[in-house]
Amino acid sequence: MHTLGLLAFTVIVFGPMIVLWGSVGNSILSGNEAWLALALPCGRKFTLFVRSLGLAASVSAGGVILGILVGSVLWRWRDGVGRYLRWFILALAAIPPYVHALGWSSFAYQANTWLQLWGLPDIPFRGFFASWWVQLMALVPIAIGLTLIGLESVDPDLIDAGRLLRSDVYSLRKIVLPLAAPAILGGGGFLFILSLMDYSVPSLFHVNVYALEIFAEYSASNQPARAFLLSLPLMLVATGVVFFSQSALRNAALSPPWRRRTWGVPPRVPSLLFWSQRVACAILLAQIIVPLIILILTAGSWQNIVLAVSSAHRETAFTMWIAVATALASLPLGLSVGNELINPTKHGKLWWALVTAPLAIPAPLIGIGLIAIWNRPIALGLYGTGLMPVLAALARFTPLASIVLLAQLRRVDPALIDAARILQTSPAQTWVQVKLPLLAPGLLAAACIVFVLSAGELGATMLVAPPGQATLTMRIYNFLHYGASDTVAGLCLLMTVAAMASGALAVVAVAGWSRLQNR
Amino acid sequence: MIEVRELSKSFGDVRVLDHVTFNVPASDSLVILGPSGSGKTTLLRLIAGLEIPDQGEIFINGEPASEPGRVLSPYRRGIGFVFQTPALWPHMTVAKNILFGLNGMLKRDASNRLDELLVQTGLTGLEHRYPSQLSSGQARRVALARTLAPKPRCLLMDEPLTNLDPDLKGQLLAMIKKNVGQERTCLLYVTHDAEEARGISERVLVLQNGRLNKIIS
Repeated sequence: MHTLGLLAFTVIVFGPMIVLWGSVGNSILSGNEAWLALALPCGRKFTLFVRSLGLAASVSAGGVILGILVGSVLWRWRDGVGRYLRWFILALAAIPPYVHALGWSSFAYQANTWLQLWGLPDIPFRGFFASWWVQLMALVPIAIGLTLIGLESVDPDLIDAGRLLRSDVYSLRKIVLPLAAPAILGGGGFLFILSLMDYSVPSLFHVNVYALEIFAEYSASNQPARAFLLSLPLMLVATGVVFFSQSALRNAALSPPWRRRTWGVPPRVPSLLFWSQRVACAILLAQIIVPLIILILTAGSWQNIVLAVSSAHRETAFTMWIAVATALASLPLGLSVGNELINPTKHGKLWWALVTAPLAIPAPLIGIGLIAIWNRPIALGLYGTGLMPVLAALARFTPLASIVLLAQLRRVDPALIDAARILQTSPAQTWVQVKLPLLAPGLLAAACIVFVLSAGELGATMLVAPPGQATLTMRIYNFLHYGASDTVAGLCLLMTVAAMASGALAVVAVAGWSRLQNR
Repeated sequence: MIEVRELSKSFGDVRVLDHVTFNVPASDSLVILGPSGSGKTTLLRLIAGLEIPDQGEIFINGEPASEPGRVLSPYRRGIGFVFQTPALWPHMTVAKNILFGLNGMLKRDASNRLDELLVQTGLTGLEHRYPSQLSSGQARRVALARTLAPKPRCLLMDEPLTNLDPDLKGQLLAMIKKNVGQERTCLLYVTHDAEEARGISERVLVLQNGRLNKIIS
């Protein structure tokens, strides 16, 4: 079963890329060497490439700064409900970026209406700035969450040892931040990649980016090899960043669960840092409140929301099918790979490289690769069915499931499994009565994360969705090009509630487990 | 000197320390003996300023450190604290770990102090190593050198010799005692090991159920 899981993972995740490499080879052999020039961005493409890098770098920098400022506040919350509540920040990462796009552009529109009434100039909310702000708001929970994981992974004795000798802010600067740096910078790296690969938000604000060019190239030429060659510069940069960030992911998954002390004396910070932290927290609060209020106001009434949701029942059902099927299928595959990742040998390191590599692949390319594989007569008639978006979502998100499951596997005491294996009447008994309950929080968390990401997937799904069928995300994305309406606001609210509920369930699963362990 | 008056501390419903009173004069040492969970570590953390007392007062060298409505920051108390684990910062070399607390000292003076401590603790030649490159005995010595570097007026030690081999234990004990005598430091040492307690000081208090209820001399 384990080998079968590894094989399925390799085929599903790497199959599209392998086929695309093959199509490049074929094209060159067929005399299309000139296509190789696509791999070198020049002229207009160079401008797009630089713009994409600039946008991604600025989103990443903003995320790291906000991550440190808010993360250092949440880090102090170790008492009462706060110690659980702070992890819900990660659930906010599940809200799709287009919800923020709609929320903030409607907010800017309202604000400008008021400014005009008072005879004041408009706030220009468009182009690069709007794309940057919306992407930052959509991705900042990841940066804050990873910063918090980094800060929490610092041994409390190391902090106390510093606080006894120097001021709290000096200890924070010289001890805590350097030790948490891999997670903080890793968070910055992930924001960079996610921003670099996203074309949905920039396209809504009429900013052309390189990722959109890949989609456009394929739509125009219908040549997988051309799209692949065009995306090489993007993948090269993203692979470098993934390589740089993967130690953070590995540390986060493998870090020992410190038995947290509550702060006897919470760290004191100078007033400049104190107020910067407050401003950052206010931005985070706005990140939550602004889109939510705008969506509720735009939707108008409960009747409108119900009407919007019921008018999209086909899309809702299709989205649910994709999300549920992907979440369930990702678990056995993720578990097989998680068991390899836990291995500290070279074998395990190779799997780490394989698991993190797909993060550097643009979503449209996965869709293009899947079309190249399945759009042929001998391909079991899968092409054009509802299984194609499931395969696309599996290719994109199974690596994440395996990392979440690795974290859970790491927290299970091997002695518990050994004890069961000695006493078991059959391997199935150990699986059902011991392994499954011990892995349950991780399985639930991984399923929730994959569920929500699959439901919000756009880049690959748009290419492989069967004719006449669309996901909620596709429908909302199409609507958004024509501005906000009560229908789109109602659908966005539905997606937000579903995303936050799934994210919260994942957080509760992991937090509940930690609480049990610390008893 | 350390003076503790009517100190109480609870965590939730659990009363960890209950009206604890004692003092440690300068150049003197006191051992607090008690089983695991008796509140020894909490007592040291309160004196160090890492916890806020619910009730009572702490004076260090005659100055109030913790009293109702006022808690002095840990680093302003002039206290050295050796933890149960070495707690060395893994991203800093031995030298940087030791120099961390030498704030405001001229570079040359700090360098001299570092050399002095390296010789004293037998760590000469290891100053450029990282904690991961040290044996457990060397790491304990670095932790001690780091604590002694700023010449603290009071030393708090939380079972620093647990799980060490007898030879190393003897060496470190001698070093601690020498420092207390030379620098006129006061020493508050907590342990659960009665034999170790006798090797440190003649004054031993027993902490049980949050109360100091016996003095063994």
